[in-house]
Amino acid sequence: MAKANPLFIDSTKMTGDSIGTQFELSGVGLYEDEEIFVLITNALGEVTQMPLKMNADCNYQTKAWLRHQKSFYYQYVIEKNGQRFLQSVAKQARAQYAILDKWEPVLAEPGALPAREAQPAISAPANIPDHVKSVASLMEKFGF
Amino acid sequence: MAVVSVINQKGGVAKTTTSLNVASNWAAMGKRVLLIDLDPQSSATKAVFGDQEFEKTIFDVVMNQCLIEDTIVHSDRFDFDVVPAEILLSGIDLQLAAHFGRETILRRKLEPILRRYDAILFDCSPSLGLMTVNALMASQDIIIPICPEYFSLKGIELILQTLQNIRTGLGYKVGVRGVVITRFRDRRIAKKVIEDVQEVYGLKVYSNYIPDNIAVEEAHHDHSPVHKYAPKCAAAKAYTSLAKELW
Repeated sequence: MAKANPLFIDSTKMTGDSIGTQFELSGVGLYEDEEIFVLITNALGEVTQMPLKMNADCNYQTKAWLRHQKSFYYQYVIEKNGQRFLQSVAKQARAQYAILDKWEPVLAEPGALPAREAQPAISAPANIPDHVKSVASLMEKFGF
Repeated sequence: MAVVSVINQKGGVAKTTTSLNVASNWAAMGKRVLLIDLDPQSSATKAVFGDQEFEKTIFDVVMNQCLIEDTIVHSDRFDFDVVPAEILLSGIDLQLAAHFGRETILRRKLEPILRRYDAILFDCSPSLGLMTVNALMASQDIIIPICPEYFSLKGIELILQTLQNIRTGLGYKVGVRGVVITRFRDRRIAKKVIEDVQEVYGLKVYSNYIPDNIAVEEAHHDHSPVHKYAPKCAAAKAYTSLAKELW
């Protein structure tokens, strides 16, 4: 992921503010039965698939709402009859106003988007009272 | 109404000379023109007014010390208005580092006077700093003066990268009007560079090349536009034709 030059960071936005990011892809040629999407994976591993539409400059574009300057992964895929047909390399970027790319399909075996980052296991705090540790004990305590 | 930045991150390519002479020719065409000097070296200000000192400059406008209207000075010789610069501009990045909306200050300050002019030209500094970003964020498009030599191509790459960074990071699209060839000498390398600008970068190159001519430099010393200082010289005629081509 390229380093961010502070000159080109919107000073009116806080990191994590919602921002409409325009994905713009040039150099794509689609047949009638093909569709192009961008797959966006956020830091929690949630994947969103957005269709791209042709604009006046004959580039394909879509807009996604992301978290300003937060890191995410994205990958362009072309589907034919609902099946993944071609794809680009998955890239990492920081959310900003526009992501401009040139279509470069990879012919290798489809590379999956980066796996969801491991989250620390959630455990109950040690000082929690006994009666809130299970539903049964809560029902017993409050008489449901 | 046109708001245009004259910019090249490479120095010594006749940015100021081009700004002054295009602005002056536009004024001679009957257009109302404002030139805003954004270079801490104040070359445009000094070329127009000599060593005259100004109490209020673009620095004060950006620092919110006065309105832009209060800084405008008219030049009878050039027949356009100028917002002068001063050396304090060189430290402005530090002063504004934590300023909310620091990249759009000029755009907001310019708003009240936009309708007074047919054209507003920014004479930008060669360094990439906050004032250059402000000029680009306030401009509809840019004019790139280049001397036709190898390093000019690298300068164009830098500018195009800067425009892309403005688009991606700040969400504003600045157009490229075209490339002005300055200090032109009829040599093979010059023609090769011009071809590369058109073919590799896909940019429009204006057909009126400005020839390398001593009268341009002499006009600066005389604090006059070249079309008034030496109206018959090739550079003066080229700037007059270029101004029409650019309009």
